[in-house]
Amino acid sequence: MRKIDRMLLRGLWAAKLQYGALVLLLTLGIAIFGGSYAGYLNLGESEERTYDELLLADAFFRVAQSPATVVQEVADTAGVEAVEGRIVHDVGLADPKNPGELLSARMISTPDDGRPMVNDVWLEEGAYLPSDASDSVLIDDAFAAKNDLFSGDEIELALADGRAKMTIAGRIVSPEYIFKAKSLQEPFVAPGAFAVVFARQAVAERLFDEVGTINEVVVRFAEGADHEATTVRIQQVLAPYNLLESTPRERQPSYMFLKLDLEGFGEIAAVVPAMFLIITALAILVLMTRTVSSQRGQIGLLSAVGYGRGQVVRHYLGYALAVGVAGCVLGTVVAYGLAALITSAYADVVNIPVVVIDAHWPVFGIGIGLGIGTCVVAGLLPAWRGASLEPAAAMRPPVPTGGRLTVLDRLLPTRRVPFVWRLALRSLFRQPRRSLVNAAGVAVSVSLIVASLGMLDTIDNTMDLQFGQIEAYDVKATMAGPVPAEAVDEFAGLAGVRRVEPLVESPVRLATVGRSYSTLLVGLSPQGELYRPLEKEGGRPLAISGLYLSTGISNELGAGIGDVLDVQTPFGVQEMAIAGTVRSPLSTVAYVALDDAWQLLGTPDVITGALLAVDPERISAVKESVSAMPGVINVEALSEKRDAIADFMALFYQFVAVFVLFGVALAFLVVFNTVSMNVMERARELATMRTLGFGSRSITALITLENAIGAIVGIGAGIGLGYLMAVELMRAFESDSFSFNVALYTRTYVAVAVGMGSVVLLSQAPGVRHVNRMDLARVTKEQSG
Amino acid sequence: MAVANATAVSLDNVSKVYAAEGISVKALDRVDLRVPRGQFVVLLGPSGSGKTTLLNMVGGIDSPTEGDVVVDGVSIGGMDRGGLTVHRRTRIGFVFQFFNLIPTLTAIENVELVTELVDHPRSFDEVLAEVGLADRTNNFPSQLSGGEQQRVSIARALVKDPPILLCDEPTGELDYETGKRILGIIREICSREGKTVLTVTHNSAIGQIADRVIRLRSGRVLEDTLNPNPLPTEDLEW
Repeated sequence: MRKIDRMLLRGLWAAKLQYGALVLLLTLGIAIFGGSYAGYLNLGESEERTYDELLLADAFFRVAQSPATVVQEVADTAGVEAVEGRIVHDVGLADPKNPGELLSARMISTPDDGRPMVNDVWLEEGAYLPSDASDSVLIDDAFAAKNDLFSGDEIELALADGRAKMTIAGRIVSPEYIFKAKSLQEPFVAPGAFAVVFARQAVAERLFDEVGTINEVVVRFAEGADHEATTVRIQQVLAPYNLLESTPRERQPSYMFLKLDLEGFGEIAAVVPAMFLIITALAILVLMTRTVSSQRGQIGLLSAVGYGRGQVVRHYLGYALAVGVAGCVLGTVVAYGLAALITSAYADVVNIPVVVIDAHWPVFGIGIGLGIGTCVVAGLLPAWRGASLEPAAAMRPPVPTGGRLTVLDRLLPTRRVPFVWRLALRSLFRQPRRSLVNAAGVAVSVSLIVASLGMLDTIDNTMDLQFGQIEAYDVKATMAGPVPAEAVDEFAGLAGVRRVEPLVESPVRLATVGRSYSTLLVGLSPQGELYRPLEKEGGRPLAISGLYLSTGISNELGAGIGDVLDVQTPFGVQEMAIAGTVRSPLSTVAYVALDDAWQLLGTPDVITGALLAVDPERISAVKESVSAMPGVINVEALSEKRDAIADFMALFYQFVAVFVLFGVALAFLVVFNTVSMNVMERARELATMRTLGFGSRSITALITLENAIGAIVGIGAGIGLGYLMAVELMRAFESDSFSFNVALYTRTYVAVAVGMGSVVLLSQAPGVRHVNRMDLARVTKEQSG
Repeated sequence: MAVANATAVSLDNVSKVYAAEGISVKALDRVDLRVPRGQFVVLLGPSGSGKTTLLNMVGGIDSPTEGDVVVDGVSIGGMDRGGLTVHRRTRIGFVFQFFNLIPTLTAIENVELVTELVDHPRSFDEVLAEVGLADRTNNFPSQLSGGEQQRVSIARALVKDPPILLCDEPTGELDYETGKRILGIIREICSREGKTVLTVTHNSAIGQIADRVIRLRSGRVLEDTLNPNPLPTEDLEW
C-alpha cells in the first residue's frame, strides 16, 4: 500500500468517531430516501396491480331502484367494456362477540353464476360462493380477522323486517374496501365494527324483497374510451331511475383515500431525505475543512517532498469518498430492507392483497449518486484549498484568526458580560459558517420533529373538534328507513339515557348548473346540543331555513350563500338555497334543520335515527337495548368512531415515531460532530484556560453555553420551519372530505425544547470529557493550528 | 516553619516515567531541588533533558511517578484534580512559548479573564502598563506582534499576583531584540515584587541574567550553579 494511502487510512482511524458519525448520517439519509421512496413506488404498484387483477370499476352509479334489465342497456352503451348490476344495502349485523349488540354491515350482491366481471374479490380463506347455496356469504377479511370468523361460521344480519342467519363461505378482500370507508362522508370506521358482505344476486333479492331490481351499476370502460363522454351516456340511460350518485373511480372512497394517503406518504418520502442529504453535505463540508486546516503541516510536507497538487487533492478527497462510499453501501442495503418493510407493513395494515416489492435500482442509484456527489462536492473545496497552500506557508503555524469585535460587541455593552458568556458569544461569531451549520443542523432536526409532532397534534385537535365540539352525543342509532318521530320517546325511556335528539339522514345529490356533488343530508334540531355544526360563514348554523354546506362541498359546486341548488333525494328533487357554510374537518355532509329535511323527504315528523346522551357507565347497556329495537340497523358509540381513527392512524403514528427518532439521531450526529471538532480545534485554548486555573466545571459551562446558544437559535428556527412543513404535509392529506388547521400544543414546544436540549447535552459529553482529561502539559506546548 | 516559608519550591527524590506501548522513558530521575523565595532560576538543557517536565511538575499540570513536589509549603504530589486547579489558580503564573492567548479576547480581556479566578487580583490596567502595553489593550491577538502577545501572556500571569512564575521557553518564538525585552520585563518585575521565577530555555546565554542556573541532562541535575552577579538584561547577548 502506498504511504499516502496508509496516511489516509490512519487519518480516518484517528478521527474514527467523527467520520463514523458522518457515515451514519449519510447511511440514514440514503436509507430513508431509498427506503421510503422505493416503498412509496412499491405501494403504488401494489395498489395498481390489485385494482387490475380484481377488475376495479372505472365508474359507480347509484339509483333509487331500477329493473335489472337496465344492465344490458348500459352494457350496450359505447365505451363500456363490462358492467354489473348490484343490490347494495346497509344492514345491521349481530356482534359475533356480543350478539346482543348490533354492528353495521353493507351487503353487496354478486352475479348468480361465476365471478363478477367488475369488482371481483380476492379470496383469503375458504371458498367462493357456491351457485346454489341460499344462505352463503363472503365476508371481508379485516372484519373477520377482528371477530375471529372463518368459513363455516354463522353471522346474523338485522334487516328492516327481521333477522337472517347466513353462513360464511370465505374471507375476501374487495378492491372497493381496501381502505375501509363507508362513504366519503364516513371515511373512518373500525374494521371490526363494519362488515362488507357479498351474497349471490338471488339471495340479496330475497333478503330485501327486491326481485328483478338493482340499485347500483358498476362499469369498466373499454380501452381508449372517453371516460367523461361514456359516463354522460350512462347517466342518460340511468336518469329515469332517480340517479343518486355518479362516482368516477377517482372519487370512489377507498381508491381516493388510499391515493390521498399514498400522496401524503410520497411527499414525506421526498422531503425528509432531502433534508438529511442537505445537512449531511454541510456536515461533511465543515469536517473536511477542519481536517485540512488541522493538517497544514502535513500538506506542506507532502508538497515539499514532491507530491503534486493533484495527488494532494486526491488524498484529501479520499476522506470524503471514504465517507461517501461507506455511507452509500450501508445506506443502500438498509434502504432495500426498509422499502420491503414499509411496503409489507403498509400493505398489511390496509389489506392490499397483491404486494409488489421491487428493487427499484434507479431510486437506489439516485441515492448513491446523491450520496457520493454530496461527499465529493463537500470534500473538493477544502481539498483544493489545502493543496493550493505554498509548502512553506503550510508548514508555518497559521496566524491566529477570529480576533475582531463581533456585531454583538458593537451593539451591546459586552464588557459587562461575564467572561464565559463573552467567550461563548465570540466563539459563535469567530466561525460564523460553522455556527450556522451547527444551528442549521439543529434547526433541520427540530423541524423534522416539529413537523411530525405537529401532524399528530393537528389530527388530535381535529378529532377533538369533530368528536367533542361538533358531534357531542354518546350513542347514535340508525334505522333501516324513516320512522315516525315518536320513536324518540322509546329511546328516551331507556335507563341511563339523559337526552335524545332526532336525526334524519339521507343520501343526496346536490346539483347546480353543470356540477353535482353526492353526499349525505343530515337533518338536525336547530336547538340540539348533541350535534352542532360549527359556523364558518352565514350566522349560526340551522338558525334559518336552507342548506349549510362545508367549504369542501361549496367549492366543488362553485356555489355560495344564497345560491339555489337542486336537491335530489330518493324521494324526488326539490330546490333549496345555501344558507351558510360550516366547519366540518373530518366529513363532508350537507346540514339542514329538521323542518327542511322533512320537506326534502316529502314526509313530516319522521326520523331515520337518533342521537343519545348516555351516562358513561350505561353506554354498553343502552347500545344493547337499542340494538334489540325493531327497525334499528346500526348502533354506534361516538368513542368507537374516534377509536377507529386512532386504529387507522396506528401505522401513521409509527412512521411519525420513526421520523422523530431520525430527527433526534440527526441532531445528535450533527451536534456531536460539531462539538467534538470544536473541542479538537480549540484543545490548546481550553487546555490553557485549565492551566491558568479554570476548573472542569467552568470549561464545561463554557462549552455548554456555546452549544446552548447555537441550539436555541436552531430550535427557534426549527420550530418555525417545522410548522411550515406541517402545514405543507397536512395539505397533502386534504381533500373535500378532510380539512385541517395545523395546531401545535404547548406540550409539543416544551417536549421539543427539552428533548433537543438533552440531545445537545448528551452529544457534547464525549468532547467535554476529552477536554477535562487532556494532557495539559502536552497540549499547552503544541503549536496552534 | 521559617525554613519552609523561605522555600518556594522543593522537589524530593522526584522521578517521572512516561510509559506507552511497552516503551518507558524516564523524563526525570530522582531529582532533589530547593528553590528559595524570590530566586530567578534558569533551567538549561538539551531536548529531552527533563526541564519542561520539571516545570510541569511544579505547575501541577503533570504529576511525579515517585517523590514529592512542595510548592509554597504545600505538597502537591498527591493532590486530586480539584486541588491542582486551585494550586494553578492561586500559586502559579504560566508564560508559554507559544503565548497561548485566547484569540477571541482582546489583550485586556485575556488579562482580565483570570482575574475572575482569584480573590484579590491586581489591576489589569496597571499590569498591562507595567509590560508596556497600555496603548494596545483593545487589540486582539491577531492584531499584535509576537513580542506583544508574549507581553500580554506575562501580564496574564502576573495579574493573579502569584508567588511563582513558570516560563517555558518564553523567548523561543521571538527575535533577539524582542526576546531580550521580554526577559527584561520578567526579570525586572520579579525582582521588584519578590516573585520566584523558573524559566526553561535552550539558550545557555540567558543563564547569565539568572540568580541560579540548573543544567539538566537525561532527567538528572547535571549542574546547579549560583550566580552572585547576574548580568543586566540590556547587556545580554547571544
